[in-house]
Amino acid sequence: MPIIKICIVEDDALILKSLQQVLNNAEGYSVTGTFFSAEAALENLKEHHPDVLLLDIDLPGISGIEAIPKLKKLQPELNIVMLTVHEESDLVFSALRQGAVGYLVKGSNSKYLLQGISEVFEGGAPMSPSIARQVIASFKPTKGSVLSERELEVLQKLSNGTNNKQIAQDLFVSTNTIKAHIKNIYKKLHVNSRAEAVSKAIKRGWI
Amino acid sequence: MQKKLCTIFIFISLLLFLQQSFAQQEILTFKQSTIDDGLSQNSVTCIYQDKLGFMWFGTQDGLNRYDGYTYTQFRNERGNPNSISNNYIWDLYEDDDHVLWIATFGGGLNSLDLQTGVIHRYKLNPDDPASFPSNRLFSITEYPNGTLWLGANEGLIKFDKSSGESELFLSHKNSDKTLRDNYIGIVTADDSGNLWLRSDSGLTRFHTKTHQTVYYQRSPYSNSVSLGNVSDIQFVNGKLLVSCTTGLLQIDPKQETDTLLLDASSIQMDDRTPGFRNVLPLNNKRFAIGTNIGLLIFDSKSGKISTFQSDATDDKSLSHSNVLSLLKSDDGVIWIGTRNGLNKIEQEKPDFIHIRNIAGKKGLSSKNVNSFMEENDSLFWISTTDGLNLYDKKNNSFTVFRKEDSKNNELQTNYVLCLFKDSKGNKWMGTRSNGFYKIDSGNKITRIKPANATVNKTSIHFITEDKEGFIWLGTGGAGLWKYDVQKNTIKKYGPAKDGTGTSHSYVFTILQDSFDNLWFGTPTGGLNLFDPKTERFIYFLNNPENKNSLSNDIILSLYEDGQNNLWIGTNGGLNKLIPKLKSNMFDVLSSEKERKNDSLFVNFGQEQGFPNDVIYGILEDSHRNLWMSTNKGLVAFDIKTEQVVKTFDVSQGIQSNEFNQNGYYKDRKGLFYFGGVDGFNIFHPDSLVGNQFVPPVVLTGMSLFNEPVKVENLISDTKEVTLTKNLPYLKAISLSWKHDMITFNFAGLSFISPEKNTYRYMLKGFNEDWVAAGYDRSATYTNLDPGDYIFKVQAANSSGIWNETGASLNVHISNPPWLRWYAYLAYFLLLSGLFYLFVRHRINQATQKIKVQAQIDKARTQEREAFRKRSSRDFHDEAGTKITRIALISELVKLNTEDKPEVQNHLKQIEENLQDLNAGMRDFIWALDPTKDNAYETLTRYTEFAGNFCEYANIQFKSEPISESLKTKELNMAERRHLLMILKEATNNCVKHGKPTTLHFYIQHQPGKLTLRLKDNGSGFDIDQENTGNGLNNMRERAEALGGALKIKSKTNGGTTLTLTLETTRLGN
Repeated sequence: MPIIKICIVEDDALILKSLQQVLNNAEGYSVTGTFFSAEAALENLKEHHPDVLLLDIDLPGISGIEAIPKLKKLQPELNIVMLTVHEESDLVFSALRQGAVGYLVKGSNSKYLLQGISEVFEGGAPMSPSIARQVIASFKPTKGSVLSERELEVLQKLSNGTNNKQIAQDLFVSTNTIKAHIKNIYKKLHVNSRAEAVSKAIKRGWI
Repeated sequence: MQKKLCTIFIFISLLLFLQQSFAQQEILTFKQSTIDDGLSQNSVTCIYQDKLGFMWFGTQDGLNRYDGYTYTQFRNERGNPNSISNNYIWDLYEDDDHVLWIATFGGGLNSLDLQTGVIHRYKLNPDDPASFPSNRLFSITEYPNGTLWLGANEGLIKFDKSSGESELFLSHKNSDKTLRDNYIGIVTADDSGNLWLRSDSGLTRFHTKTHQTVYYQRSPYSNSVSLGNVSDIQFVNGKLLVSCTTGLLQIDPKQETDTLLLDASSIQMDDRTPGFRNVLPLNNKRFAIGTNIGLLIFDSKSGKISTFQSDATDDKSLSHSNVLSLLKSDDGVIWIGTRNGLNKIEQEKPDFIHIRNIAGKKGLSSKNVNSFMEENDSLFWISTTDGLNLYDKKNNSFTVFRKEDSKNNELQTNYVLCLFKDSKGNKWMGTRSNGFYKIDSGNKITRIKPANATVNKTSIHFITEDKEGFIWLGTGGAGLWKYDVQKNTIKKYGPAKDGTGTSHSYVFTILQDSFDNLWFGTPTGGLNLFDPKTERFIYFLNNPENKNSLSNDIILSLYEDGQNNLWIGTNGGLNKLIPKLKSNMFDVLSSEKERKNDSLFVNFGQEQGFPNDVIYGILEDSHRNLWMSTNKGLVAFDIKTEQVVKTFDVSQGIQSNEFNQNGYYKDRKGLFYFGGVDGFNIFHPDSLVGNQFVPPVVLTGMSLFNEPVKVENLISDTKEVTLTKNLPYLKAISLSWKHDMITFNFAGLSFISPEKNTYRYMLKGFNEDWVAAGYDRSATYTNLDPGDYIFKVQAANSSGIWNETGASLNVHISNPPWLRWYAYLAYFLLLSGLFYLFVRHRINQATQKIKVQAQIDKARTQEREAFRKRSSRDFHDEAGTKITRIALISELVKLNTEDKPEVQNHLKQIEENLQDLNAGMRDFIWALDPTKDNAYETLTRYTEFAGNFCEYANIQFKSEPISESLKTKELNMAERRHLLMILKEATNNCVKHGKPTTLHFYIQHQPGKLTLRLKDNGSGFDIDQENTGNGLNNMRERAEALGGALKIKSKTNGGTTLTLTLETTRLGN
């Protein structure tokens, strides 16, 4: 099992240190860098080149959400997972549109954290129902890529609160397939959001 | 005496002889008109009346149309092709299309369309053989309809009206059956298709179809007389009347007879035989014949001929003796056009015969007539201020007695004042100064010289007789005289103020009533009553303070009517003595004191409709009407009703408006005689016909802003208007709203005293009732509102007979542009637009208000929600961070104490609690989120929780899809929490009890009810036994708080089902 390299961006020192320790202690995870701000992370990203970046939303300076595109610019394949105290769907959804692949709730136990990270690494972070709904809404027919029928089904079930396992059972597929679907959905979402940004820029004459 | 009688007899015979040489003469007066009255020229060559009633007079210099008031002239105007071609008019004829055809001498034929005013001329063009054949036309007749036959200087012309083509018929010297000469002066058609033409020394008959001509030099059928020059041919009632040199011939073509009605040579006027010109049949037997030396009226039934000639000194005679034209108009007026002036006879049989004095002519000796006395049926004595007359009614002749003829009379003066014939047949006469005379049976006039007194220098104003045969004389200056005929003595009652004599030295009038009371009237001394027994007088005078006293002190006449009322004519009106006459009136009325203040008299005067207050003479007719002469004509007064019935003035034939004292008389036949300042009138009150003709009423013109409107006016600016037809023919007119001042002119076409026609008019739509216009012939309206009106006018003739049909004209006044239909449409649209805008504005305002309100509400809500969100977030951030820290630290501790299982245990508990705390807090935050305020969000959250929970606990969780409609079911914060707690608690419980492998969540949404069911397949529990513990109680309480019901079913080894039913109505559905 390859070791997942993690960087953490968190402005609370205690949480940061604790997280680092917990993760380092776990098998297969290694925290290579810790930063108190997005700027610091951006400065040193190239050096560390992690697999997963845990990014807090509330940061001094530029917010985590604003940092995402900058980070992705530096390292396009970087998996960014948002750390949030609460599942504030708007912010999380914005992060996802910017390119984050998932989110983790800070107050959860370590097991959940680790599971979440590994899931993310595998591709396909869990999607809460409200997120799922927002994703459906954002995929309008005229814009960019379109969700496939299966993806839409998955999204709808997610929006109803059904978990991956249940969805897999309902659709007679494996949970992995579901996860793959979700991963694709995220990709499309990101693509869409990027495309939207471009078209917005064209409209406004920036490009 | 015998000698005297003989002379007298011869004298009378002579008179009679002389009188017989006169034809029996009708007395007629003529009203004259000349150019001074507006006529274009005085030689009136033809007279015509058109179908509307207007009179047309053609003269040698112009054509005139007359409406009774003004002459409208038509003349040739150089440079105006729409004027007549020549002014010398010979004949006029109106056809059925209201076209007036005019024959001129020098300008050919003209047609004047009376409706449009358009004139066409037909003239001879010498260069064009196809042109109209003559310019000198004399006569027009139409036969049959559409063809005119014209007598011209150059022959007979046949003229087709519609094509304008003409055919000329000439005489051929070499043929017998031809026109004798080309000078065709008269053309008349009979009803058999023949034309009768005037020819040289004879008459020609010409057939209109065959053109066969027959010439007559003598009377056609009887051959008894030669014709000579034919001047006029009239076809009336199937017979031809031919006026020629020989006289008046009547020809009946059907019967083939002819009769000479009147032989011209039998008439001598001015020692000459008149040359017969025009003939006018007045009826079957009466004819008016115009001659070159006067007018004749011939009654073939009686043989009576009356002649009328012009007299320069008499303005009521014919204006000229050379008569050129004759016509009788519809109202009976006879028009006579002469060489010098137009004349009319208004009444052929006048109501009032007027005998006049004409200076230099034999007849009445003076204009001032003041007394009458009947000699016998045909002889009448008439006194004037210049001579005494004996009038022979039969032949209208007078014998005049003047003092200059002193051979036969002893007249000292010609100023005669009164006449009286007593019961014995004695004829008495009073004159001015030296005044008392007697006329004996031989008409000799002798002075009375009483034996006991002188009458020298005393004027005698009035003579009458009492029952005993005494003659009472009213003198001028010597009071009252009583004359004893037998004794030839006079008793004089001079003036005295004490009742022993007359109240004044002059006595103007005396009356002995049927009760033998003697009444006297004086000038300024009032009325006297004489008592012969006591020989005392009572005086009645005017008391200005007593309106029932005598109205005036100058007494002119006294009269007792058939009901024994005493009537007193004064200078100040008519008085009636209130107490009826009876015997001994003197005793009845003797108290002087009472007389002054008593109501003894009723007065009538101008206030009661009398034309004037000076009452000269009073006569009574057989219908209890008093007829009185005044200074303003005659008045008829009904005694029964005490109302004025009628008044008469000069225009109706009265001699003059001013009459004379004493000049009134009623003869044995009931004829009335009234004398005045221009001769006297004789009439019978029962035979007054008056004017019976109902006058046609026509609109003669109109003006806008006092500018007369003509047919030729074209619309050049909005002020003028086009008349399509002349007003008399127009039925409707359309005017613009700009025509602010509109005047209508009208006339009643009755020519008998037309100045006495009265009018009334109304504009229906404006006036509510008739407006009496009196003599005015115009009506003006200003500022009429747009709309439709009818102008109606009626006229009454000179006797007050109304034409109640009258004339009418529809008048439409168009709306100004701002009142037209398109304006109204525009207004409507504008108003609708404004209304719409207004409404929209209001709606906008309202919606704006609502919007603003909504915005305010929204802002408030948003603010609240934002607050909720912020506070929740802030709180969560704070707490969350702390919890995260604790969790992580605990994790670290766990890692460091792997070898201490007790510590691990505690740490695990801490972990669990932290998780619970975290989860609880997150739930709490969720509950605060206002966007989650509905059932859908709540149930979604539950299923998410349940899914994760069950996965963790290795239970298969299955849930039904949550319908989006549940989004509309609002739940507030507390409700959400309750629901979530119930479900979470239930989920916890089911896992605790009996290790199920599946948990199913059912949602049933019905209208009004939401049913949630959790079913597991665990081992269940015994409901009864299981302590209801806090958990279950809690759930039940929460369910109650939601207003729902909770049911738990459990079977041992049968699973547990929890059912929660909620009413969605309460949940805000």
